[in-house]
Amino acid sequence: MEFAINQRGWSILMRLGLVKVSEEKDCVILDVFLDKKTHKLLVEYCRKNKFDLATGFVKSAVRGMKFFRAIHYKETKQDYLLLKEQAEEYERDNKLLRQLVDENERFKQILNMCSAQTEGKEDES
Amino acid sequence: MKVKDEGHRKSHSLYDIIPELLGIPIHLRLSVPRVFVDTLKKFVKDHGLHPKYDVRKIVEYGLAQESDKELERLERERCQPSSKVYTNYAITKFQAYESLMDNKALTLKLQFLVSENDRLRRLMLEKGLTASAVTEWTKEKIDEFQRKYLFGQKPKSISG
Repeated sequence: MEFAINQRGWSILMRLGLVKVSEEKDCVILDVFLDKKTHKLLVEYCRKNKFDLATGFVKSAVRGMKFFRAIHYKETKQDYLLLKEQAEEYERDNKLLRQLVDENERFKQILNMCSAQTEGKEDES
Repeated sequence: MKVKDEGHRKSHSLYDIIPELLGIPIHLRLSVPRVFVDTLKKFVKDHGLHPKYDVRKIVEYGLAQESDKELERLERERCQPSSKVYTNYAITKFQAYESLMDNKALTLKLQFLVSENDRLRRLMLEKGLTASAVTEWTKEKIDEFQRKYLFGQKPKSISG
């Protein structure tokens, strides 16, 4: 008779040294590290679909592997739009800063030319 | 032998805090089919992911709200030769970084540049070469640039 063992059940079996049971079922114990947000989503997904945590994990990971590149592409696309906006802002600021530097250079040239002209006039006189 | 034990204990405790440092503090021990683990291992290796800490990314992607149809459409779009998202992303990232670094360097000497601009403008006005000595670089504008590029804060107008 088939029956599902939840995570607590497996940990009890492990403590009792009955891990071989899982090996017989061709199952292995996997350490999974999740952030709080993903854990919450996973628990919610399991609750909604009436899965135990391990089944929910396997199902979501299988879907994740199947669509990994597609979702990564979607995320990159979203990031690109934000990045483009930011790059444009940096470019605008860069133009303003460069303008200031160029303006200073231009003013210096004009003033130098002006003072050279007045010096020339003084020499002539 | 004692030293070896201590070393082992130290590395073990460091190993324990890595998930905390990475912001992935929830540790689950799940019984899963061996076939699945083999597939997962192969997938992680092929995609250059960390076998332990990047599994959450796969789960997160698996729990995405988008329907399978929408994801299949995205996959088709990704595979199209005309799709240049990754290329454009890389180019834009490089350009943004280049502009950011330049802006940081120029903002460091912005105060000096503005006072020099003021001095030159005044001289030009004295010699009758310009009509006005007023610069568009106000104190607020300088502060905004310094906040943005030197202190890594968003300007007040953006942060609200």
